[in-house]
Amino acid sequence: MKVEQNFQEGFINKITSPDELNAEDKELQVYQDLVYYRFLEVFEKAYPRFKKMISGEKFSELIYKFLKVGAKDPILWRVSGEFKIFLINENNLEMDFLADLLEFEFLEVQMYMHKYQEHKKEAFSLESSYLFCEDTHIRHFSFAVHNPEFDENIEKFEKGKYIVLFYYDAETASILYEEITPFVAKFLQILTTKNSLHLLIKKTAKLYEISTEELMEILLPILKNYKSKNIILSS
Amino acid sequence: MNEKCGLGLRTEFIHDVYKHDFKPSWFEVTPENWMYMNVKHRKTFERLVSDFEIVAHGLSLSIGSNTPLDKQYLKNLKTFLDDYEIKHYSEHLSFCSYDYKQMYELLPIPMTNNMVEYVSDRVDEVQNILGRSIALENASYYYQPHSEMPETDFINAVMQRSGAKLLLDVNNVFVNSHNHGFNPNEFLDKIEYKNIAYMHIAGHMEVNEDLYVDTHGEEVKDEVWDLLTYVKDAGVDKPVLLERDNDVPNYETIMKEYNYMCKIYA
Repeated sequence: MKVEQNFQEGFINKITSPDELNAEDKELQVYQDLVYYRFLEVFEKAYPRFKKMISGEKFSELIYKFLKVGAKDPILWRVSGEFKIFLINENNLEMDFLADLLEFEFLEVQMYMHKYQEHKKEAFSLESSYLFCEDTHIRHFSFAVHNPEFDENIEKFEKGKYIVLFYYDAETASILYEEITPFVAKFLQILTTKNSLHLLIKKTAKLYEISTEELMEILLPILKNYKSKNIILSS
Repeated sequence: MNEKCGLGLRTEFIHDVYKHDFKPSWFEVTPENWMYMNVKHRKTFERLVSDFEIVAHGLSLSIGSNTPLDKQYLKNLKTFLDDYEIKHYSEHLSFCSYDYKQMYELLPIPMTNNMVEYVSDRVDEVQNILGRSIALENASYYYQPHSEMPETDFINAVMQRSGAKLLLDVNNVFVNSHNHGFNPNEFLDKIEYKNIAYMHIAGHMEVNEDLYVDTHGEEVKDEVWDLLTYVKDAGVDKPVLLERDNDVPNYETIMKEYNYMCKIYA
């Protein structure tokens, strides 16, 4: 198979190169184009916001660099996850917010491709215990990439701490997200099968030295809303 | 497959299938597109799979690659096929990865005796993992790699040695015949028809006088319909499927083309 593999290796090297092909290799042009445009199409769909922020020439250069590193996943849409890591490791993009933006964009893709369990409608009860739904995700960002105005006014958004909750809305079959406070994020993480919500709220109030009633007033509407959206599930 | 005519299932029209009375006899699906499917299509897909006979037509197997077969991918593929009770699975006589690098395009393999053996051994491995026999499609190619034999001999040899069936892509035969200057009818005459499991028909793009590209993005050309008729007249009595992957028209339009295919073939 030496001859065959030499052919294949040479062929791959030529069609993944950004260089113009020699006259004797002109027949390979179709493959050079097919491979490039395949990756371009997938990455444009996965990272439309990032794509808009850089020149077409730069985007093309990044794709060819990535082709040399090589995609590993046999499932095409998932190659965008490999491209994300590649881009973050590229140090010449001069975008402080790059990792946050790519994570935001690719998480949305991943969540659209996820298989969600159906959940029964149950009444909310403070006496029940709840767990944070494993189909839901919390991400900590240093830049407000979740803000709809971010892309147009990047310089106006200061570096900070942003916590964003991503969840699947079964009614509209959509991925939705909202910024949450560090306190709510922490509370969602301590949900356990061992304690009812009522007991957890009591314990938390004691920890933060506020009254249970006061904390209840803050958390109750949030938790009821999260229950209705299956962000928390009765255990 | 019992019925003669099938249609490639695409997300562009999946939600329209149940809105119309006219439906194809069976669908072909690309497993890589449905093993992890968009939430917007899951319910409809699962309903279709339970209502229609389904054939899976893969893209990522890379049967002619130097990269060892991806066992995890094959395991996931088997789970997908088993879960949806899909009996038939086909792939391409080509490669799409090299040295563990994925290209996501069907690339031409050298047509040599070594490759016949190599591909056949891998077919055996795949069939053992999937617990199913597979069919391999004659691919379109725009560059003739290092070869020791004509394509027809290569195809026949792989089928004979591996026991795989042939998915005869009629459009690929036409496109290749144009690009590489051979007679498509003579090519078909040399194919061992007994190996055919089913056939594909699709549209291609006439880029220029010298180059046609198998885009699946246009209506089937008359010359390709003629080739299908030629195969039928030669006594081939196997199912045929209409593929459309790019610039997918609405369901009504694609069903008109599907009905035309049934009219001339069934």
